[in-house]
Amino acid sequence: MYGLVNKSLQEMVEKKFGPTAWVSARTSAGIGEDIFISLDAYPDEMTYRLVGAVCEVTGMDAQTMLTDFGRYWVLETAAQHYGHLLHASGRTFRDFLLALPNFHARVSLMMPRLVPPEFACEETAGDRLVLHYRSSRAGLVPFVEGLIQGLAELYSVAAATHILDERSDGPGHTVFEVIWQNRALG
Amino acid sequence: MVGLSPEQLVAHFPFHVAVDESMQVIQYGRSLAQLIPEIRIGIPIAGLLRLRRPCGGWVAEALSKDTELLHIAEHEPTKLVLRGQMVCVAGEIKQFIFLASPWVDGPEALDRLGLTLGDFALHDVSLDLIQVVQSMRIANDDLRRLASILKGHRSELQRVNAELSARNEQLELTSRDLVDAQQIADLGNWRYDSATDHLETSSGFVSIFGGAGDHIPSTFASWLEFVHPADRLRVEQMIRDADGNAFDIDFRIIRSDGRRRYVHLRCRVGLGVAPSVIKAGTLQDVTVRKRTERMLRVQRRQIRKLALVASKTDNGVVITDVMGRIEWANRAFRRQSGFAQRQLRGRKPGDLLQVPETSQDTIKYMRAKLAAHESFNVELLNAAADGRRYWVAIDVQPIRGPDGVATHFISVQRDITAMRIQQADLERLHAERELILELSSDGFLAFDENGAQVYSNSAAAYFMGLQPEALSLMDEFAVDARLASLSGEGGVFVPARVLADGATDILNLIDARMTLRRAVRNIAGDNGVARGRVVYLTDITREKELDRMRTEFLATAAHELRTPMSSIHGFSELLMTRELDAPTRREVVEIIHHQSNFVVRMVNDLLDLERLSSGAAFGELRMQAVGVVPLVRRVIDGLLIENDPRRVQFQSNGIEEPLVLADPDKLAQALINLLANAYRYSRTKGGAIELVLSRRQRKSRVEIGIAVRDHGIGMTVAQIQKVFERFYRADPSSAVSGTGLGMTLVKEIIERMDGIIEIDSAPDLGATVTLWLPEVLDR
Repeated sequence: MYGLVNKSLQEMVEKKFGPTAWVSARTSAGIGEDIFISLDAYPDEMTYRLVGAVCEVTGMDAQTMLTDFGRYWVLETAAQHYGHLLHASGRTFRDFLLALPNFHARVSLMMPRLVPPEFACEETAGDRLVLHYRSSRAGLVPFVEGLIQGLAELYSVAAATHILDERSDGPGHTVFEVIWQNRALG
Repeated sequence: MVGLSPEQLVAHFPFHVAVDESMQVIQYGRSLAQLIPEIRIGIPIAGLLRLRRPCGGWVAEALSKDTELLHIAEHEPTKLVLRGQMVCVAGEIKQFIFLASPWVDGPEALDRLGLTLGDFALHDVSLDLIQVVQSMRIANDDLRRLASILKGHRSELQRVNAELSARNEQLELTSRDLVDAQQIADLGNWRYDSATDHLETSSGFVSIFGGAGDHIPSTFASWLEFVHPADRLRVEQMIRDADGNAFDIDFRIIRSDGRRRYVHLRCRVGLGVAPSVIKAGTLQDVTVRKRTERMLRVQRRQIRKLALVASKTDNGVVITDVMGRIEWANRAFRRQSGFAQRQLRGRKPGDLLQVPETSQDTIKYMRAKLAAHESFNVELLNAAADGRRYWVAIDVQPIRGPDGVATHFISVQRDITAMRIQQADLERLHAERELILELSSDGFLAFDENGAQVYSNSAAAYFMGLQPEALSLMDEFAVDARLASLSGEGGVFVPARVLADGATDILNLIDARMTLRRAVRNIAGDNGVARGRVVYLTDITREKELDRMRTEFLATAAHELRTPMSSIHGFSELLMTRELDAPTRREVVEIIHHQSNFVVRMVNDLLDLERLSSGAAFGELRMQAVGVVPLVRRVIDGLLIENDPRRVQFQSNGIEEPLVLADPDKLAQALINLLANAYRYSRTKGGAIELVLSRRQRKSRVEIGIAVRDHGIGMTVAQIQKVFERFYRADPSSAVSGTGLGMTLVKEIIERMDGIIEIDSAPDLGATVTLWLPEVLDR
């Protein structure tokens, strides 16, 4: 996991629960680093420990916490660090979801030491699609759901996801159906 | 042969544009139409895009030739830059395809151009470039964040470093202060390891023992050798037996220089690594404290004695603190002041006792002395609680602590009110006596036992022809020398200092024509030794003159009376012893009668003269405004001169009714005397007897002159000078009768009445005697 993820997690915890909560979680997780380099690779295990410690310190369950983190990632971290690129990733919610596979393919080129997840989309109708999520990392489905919720907020659409299937044909293959509806302005 | 259909070309090269040989647009990509909405099939490409490189422009020949060069074209209205490769498709109609992509230098360019990732072909690396740029920006953000954190850390480090430096500095200062404090406090510390018998000591510890480096005791036994033998066993047991409890002990040591000191040792026992037991503590030189404590014990005993004395004494005793506030006052002081102990405690004596009449100078002096912590004595007027004024003599002494600093004042106050009253009486008496002496016409000089002048009055200065100030500077020797010089060389002068106590003598001061009686009296001392002497000078010049005159008068009077008395005695004896015929008897009796008349007149004159001279008659003068003319006429009319037919001729000279201030009877007597003389001394020569009035202005007064003129024998100048002497007669022969007292009496009367008598005469030319008396102008 690259450092930006850990850094984003730190920012979210500090913002929601205060710096002390983060220090407590970090200490509880036995993590010595207090500075994360955004584009450096860190062991996935470190992120998992941090997430577990944050849940322990804040009393949140892991699923809620990961979902919140997904939303925070899109609305705060990506907006801060990818700004224009985020907006250029698609003119619509649908376009964005459709661009996800190529976006992550490019990331894998740029950061060869990372193993980004792989997405694939199947268009089923104008306001829904099937999203395939494949990742070697377990337990991050709620994070993906949070990402999709965050994107829906970004594009001002009401979106819902549900898991159509969790397949065992690879390292981890989850099939989501994403349904959305453009919100009335105002 | 692989070929692309126009649809594939449009889909996979979304920013391409194709032109024919005439350089007109024949085809373009889907995304280019978004960027250049005015693009249409058939319009000249040159109108849309300016070919910046290569420089050949939209010319078929150049485009054909430059296919290996990167082509850059610009849509000038939007500043859109397209870059890519020019492909020449040879055929029946030559075509040129510009496979372009928009130049984007960052994600914000996508936003600016309104492009999304879907507008690019998947093979277009522009998107990868943008992501690389974005990643670089994230990395830069990290760098900035890290730099900021590092900067913060560096500042924090600097701050911590500065704080550490300051603390180090403080620590060093504290260490130095500790060493200094130990030196000042004569304090040292020590540490003893019982297992190794090693004693560690500080420099202060060593200094207490008077040792240099080589004298430092490093074992317990060697250190014990410095302990006074009498205390050694006690100290050794205390330190050896010390368990977990701390203890303190005082004992004596003998320093390496032999001096004995008192020390205070404090010991704490700590656990070392077994089998060591660490004992550590401090050692302080308390010799000064011990001495001070001893002195304080002595002082306390003295103070107890003083307090006992103070409580018994009749003098007031007050103890104040250094600020002057009363801490204790004895019974006598409370009795003097009328205040109770509780009223006095904590108050300043001055606040309670001083009144407006109290000398401000004395108060100022007392305050200065108290502020300087110095002793002083003053006399002060106080007021008791009931308002009664009383004088006290105050003796104030500071009470100093062992360090010499005043901590209290003790004030002893003696009531001197009675003494003050006596002193005031004495001063008044002294002033009175001095005034009396000063006003006295007698001279006084007082000298102490060494001859230094103590006192002299103005009369003494006058007698000695000196100013009082000049005389006051002279001692007894100088005074004697002065009197000796005034007495002249001819006389015998005895200095006053050699005269016996009570002796008197006469000094004739020749130049001053003054005779002084000098009396000397010693001032008696306690043991009979004179403490000095007083010289008393009395002017007896007039007394001497009167004495001389009296003697002369008696001689003259006896002589003047002897002649008629002898005549009376002789003729009366003749009558008694002889039988005389009647005519002779009558003649003898007439002689006796005449002589006895003479004696009676002389005795009357003498009595009158004596009354006037003694002053007794002066009180009897009846001074009043006297009309001169009536008085003169009455005298003339009453004048009966035997055997002389002449009448007095009166001339008023036009002065009408003058009034003079005089006793009318005495003035009449004087005129009778003058007229009698005029008749006597002109009887043989005859001539008119005249009485003439005149008026003159003399000084500030107007005088009336009454002149009696005769034309008789007259007088010489020498006779005129003696005419007023008693018994003097211008013609001493029996030819002119008279007592020789008439003119003396006239002069005495006129001068008593503030008049003047003038004589104008010459031998054989008669005489004019004028009486001048002040005229009374205010009628």
